[in-house]
Amino acid sequence: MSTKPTEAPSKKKNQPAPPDLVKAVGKLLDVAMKAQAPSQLQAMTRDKLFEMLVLTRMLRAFRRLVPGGRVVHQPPGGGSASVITVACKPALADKNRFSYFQLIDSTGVVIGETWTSVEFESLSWTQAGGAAGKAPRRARHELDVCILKPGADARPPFHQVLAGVSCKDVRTATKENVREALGLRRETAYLNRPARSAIPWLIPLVPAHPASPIFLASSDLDVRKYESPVDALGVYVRFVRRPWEAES
Amino acid sequence: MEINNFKPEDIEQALHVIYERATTYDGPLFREFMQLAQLAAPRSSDEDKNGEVETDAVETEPETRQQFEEALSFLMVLAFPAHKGTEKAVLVELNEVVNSDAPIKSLQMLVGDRRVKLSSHLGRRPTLARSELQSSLLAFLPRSTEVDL
Repeated sequence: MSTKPTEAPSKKKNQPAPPDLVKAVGKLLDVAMKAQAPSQLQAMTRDKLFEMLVLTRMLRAFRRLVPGGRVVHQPPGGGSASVITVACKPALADKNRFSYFQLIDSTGVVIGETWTSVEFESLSWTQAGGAAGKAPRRARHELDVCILKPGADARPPFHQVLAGVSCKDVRTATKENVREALGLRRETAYLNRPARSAIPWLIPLVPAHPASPIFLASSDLDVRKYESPVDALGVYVRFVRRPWEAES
Repeated sequence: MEINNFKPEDIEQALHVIYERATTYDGPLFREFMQLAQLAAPRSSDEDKNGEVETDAVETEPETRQQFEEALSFLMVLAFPAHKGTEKAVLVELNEVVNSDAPIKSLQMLVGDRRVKLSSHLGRRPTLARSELQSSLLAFLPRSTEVDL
């Protein structure tokens, strides 16, 4: 009877070789370096998709954190409920043209309306004595994703914003994105003692009046280092991971 | 394989490769690769990200891993920009949270008065080989964060 040669103790049969990290990273670089710059429409589409991902994560948080809460898609007037229609650039919260999502609590009360790409009238416009609904373009800013008070104006003033999100899908200059979010913070509320948040189910207290949290949501992991100290001003920095595993 | 199973020098070497190649890139995504080079740049041995003096080699290991995670995360998005599969994945997540009898099937944007389906301007899913490459490296990225937003 023959005997099998003794195998080295560390070898196991039928086990795939562990991936060579450096080689795999090299291959990944090869792929990235062949990538073409996107066309304007492609870039716009990718940005929109990231905004929809961020919006979805916001809705998911609502469902998870509000017992009995419901989310209902409202298509634009006469539209199909199975198609979501969004603006490609800053727009009005126009229920005849764009989709939005109602946030409904356990008693059936609508407590917020979630939109993408809405322009709001800035705090500085109000501070300067500007008439509501008359803000020129220079006094309006875009929120990529936002929650508005139910029944808010199509171009809402800052105090009808319950929460706002600036979405950045892997951008250069992360610090500039943080500064932009701080600018949105300045134009949506006054700094104040921490008060009950406009969306307490997500952020309990916000140091602002109105107490609307402003988020910076980025697909760049590096953004996490900026979480503090801007949260002391009511700006909340979040890394939003792509659903890689579900994409294939 | 989890990142913890690799020796620190493997991760350092991978970072070095990213840095070297990103700094020599000369193509249409120049600004993005400059950002990548910044993420992967060697950090001063006497300063950590908080500006405090760091001299213990063992203590710098988690920071090297974190730096690698950040650079790799950025590189992954450069290599695999959003595609049709990404839209499908977003729709799956959306349908899990929206209360509706009819599932949401597509996303479109209004460009002027023209309705443009997002899928018509998204690339195809990666090839099988590229999907496998992507999967092998996902293990080195953080899993879903605990906070939804």
